[in-house]
Formats: sequence, C-alpha cells, structure tokens
Amino acid sequence: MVHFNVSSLVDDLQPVRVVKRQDNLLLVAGATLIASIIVAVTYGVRSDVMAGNPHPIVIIRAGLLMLLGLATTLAVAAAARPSIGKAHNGWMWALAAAAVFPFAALCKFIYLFASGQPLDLFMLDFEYGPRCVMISTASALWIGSFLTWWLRRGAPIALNRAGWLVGIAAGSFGTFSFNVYCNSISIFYIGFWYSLAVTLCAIAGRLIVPRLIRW
Amino acid sequence: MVANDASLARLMAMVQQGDKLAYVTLLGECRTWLVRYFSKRIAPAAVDDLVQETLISLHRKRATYEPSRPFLPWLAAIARYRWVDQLRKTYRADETELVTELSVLSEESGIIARISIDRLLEQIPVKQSDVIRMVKIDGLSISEAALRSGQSEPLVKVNIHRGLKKLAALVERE
Repeated sequence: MVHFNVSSLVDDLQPVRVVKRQDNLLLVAGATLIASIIVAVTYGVRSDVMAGNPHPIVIIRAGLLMLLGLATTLAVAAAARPSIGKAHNGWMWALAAAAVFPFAALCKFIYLFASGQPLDLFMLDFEYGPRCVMISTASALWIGSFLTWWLRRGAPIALNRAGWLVGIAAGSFGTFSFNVYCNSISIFYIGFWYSLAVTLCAIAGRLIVPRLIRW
Repeated sequence: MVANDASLARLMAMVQQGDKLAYVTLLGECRTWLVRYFSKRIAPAAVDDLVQETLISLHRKRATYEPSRPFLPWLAAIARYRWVDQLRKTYRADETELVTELSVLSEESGIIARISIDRLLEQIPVKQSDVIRMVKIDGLSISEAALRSGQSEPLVKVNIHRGLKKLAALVERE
C-alpha cells in the first residue's frame, strides 16, 4: 500500500497549455528562415535563385533537405509526447530519399574508378567544401538549440532516438539555409559535403542532446 | 477497480484546465494502476518510491498529454521511463546487488505485454539472459550461476552488467 500524500501535487495544480506540434514546426520554420536570411546577407544568394530560375538540382536538393527536416521535426514533436505502440518512423523514408545524392555520387565514383577514367576530385572542391560544412553546422547549431529547448518542455522517453532526430532535423535545415548560397551543382560535391554536414549534425545531436533532455 | 481509459482521459483533460477535484480522483486511480503495474516488475520495497516518482512526473509533464489520445499508454510510457531510469541507477550503483527483481510476467494486458521482461530477455545474447535469469530472477548466487552456466564468476558479472545495460536500451527503444 502506498502512503503518498498527493495533496501537495493538487495544491500545486495550475492550468497548462497542451504541448502542440505546431509550436515546434513554427519555431523551427522561424529559426530556419532567420538562418537563411543571415547566410544570404553575409554570403549572398545564387544568381539563378535571385533570377527566379534556379537550376533543377538546386530545387531537388532543397526539396530533399526540406522534406528530411520536416519529417524529422515531426518525429521530434511526436517524441516529446510519451506513448507506447506508436513507431513514428516515417522520417526514415525521407532519409532514404535524401540518401540518393551520396548514393549517386558513389555510383559515379565507382564507374570512373572501374573504367580507368581520371577521378575528377576537383569536383569535390576541398577549398569551398569545408566552408559549406562550417556554415551548415553553424546554422544547424542555431536551429538545433531551439528544437532542444522545445523538447525539454516535453517528456521524451527515448532519449538517444530523440538526439538523433534533433541532429538530423537541425542538420537538414541548417544545410538548407546554406543551399541558397551554394554555387556548386556537382553531384560529387552535394553527395559528399552536404551528407557530411548532416551526418556530423546527427552525431552531435546523438552525443549532446540526450543529456540535455533527461527528466 | 480502476476506471476505464475514456474516463481517465476525460479527467486528465479537466486536470489540464486546473480542476483540482478531478485531479484528486485521477491521482487516486493512477496510483492504484501504478502499484499494480510496478508490482509485477520490481521488488515490493521499491514500489512506493517508484509510484511516487511517477506521479510527480505525471504532474510535471501533464502538458504533454494530448486529450484526444488514450490516457493509459501515456501513463504507461511515463511509468516505463521511470522504471528504466531506476534500472540504470541500480546497475550503475552495484552491478552484482540484487535490488531490481525482474519477475516473470504471467497474464498481461496489451500494453504491458509489450514490455514483458521475458520478451526482452529473448532479444539479448543467451549467455547474458541465462545468468540474468539465474541471478536476478531465480536468486542464485554468482558462484552458483557460474557453476550452472559453465561461465567463470567474473564472466557472469560482466554478462549481467552488459545484459542489464542492453535491457535498458531495449526498453527505451521500444
């Protein structure tokens, strides 16, 4: 028999506003918009985007990053509410779709290597690429801090999973904000540097976020 | 007799609006449900503390309940989180001490069946689940478990430690 006096909890009761996933989406959308504006003002915007006629690959990569970010943000919102029996694994399909870029780059690489053609590593652009990762991860840090703050208001029960999701969501939107400036349309470049940025953010999310959201 | 899920969901919606009378009723019902829930999972002496911790968590996280959804899966998820938290603390504090009694479950509801310890034990290596069953459930000593399993005593300790760690991870993941 439990002899726990619940009166202290009852006395402390105040009306609360239910944690809504829309709040999470609005927060992330706002943070991404601000990050994109800062990147655009600081580094500029692609000329074809400015002209309103972006290269198809820019639209595809932006769409995939947006889709991945949206799917993982929704999964973060679901993770904030405890429940048993709901998987919320739809974001994995978005991740699989986004993996098309690194997969295509790998296929091209294997083809060039197997056919004995010169590997055009210049297309990886080792001067410009690290800056891509740096700007993307800086934006992701900004966006991820809002996601983490929001998640602390919730009650996540799978902390490691929530950490991965925050990292991937922040990495996707952070890289999306960089995408408006990025001049490259090389499949090698996107497959390598964009994937690296999102992967680094995912690992950082897994390592950092769980200890911040424990309750 | 514990109220059904729909009644508890209605009470919780009223609690979120600050209804103290509904809160007294809800906490009473939840306490009964939690005592039953934890009694099948942990040593009787630990039930009180865990029920209390879960009720405090319910209070702190009441804004995360969505009124249109079933209530008991929400409560069960919080209870399971607190249970896993205690499991972690237990094996961190002393990996060989028998504090958490992992009792074998018999009849279970749909929710509870999902976290059956038997089913979880099937998902870890046999050499780990065997010694966890022997020491943590059947109550054998480390040396008895070593003799019966054919593992050395240090290996039994290591396998219990690793197995419990994996169990905690499995419960969190599910």
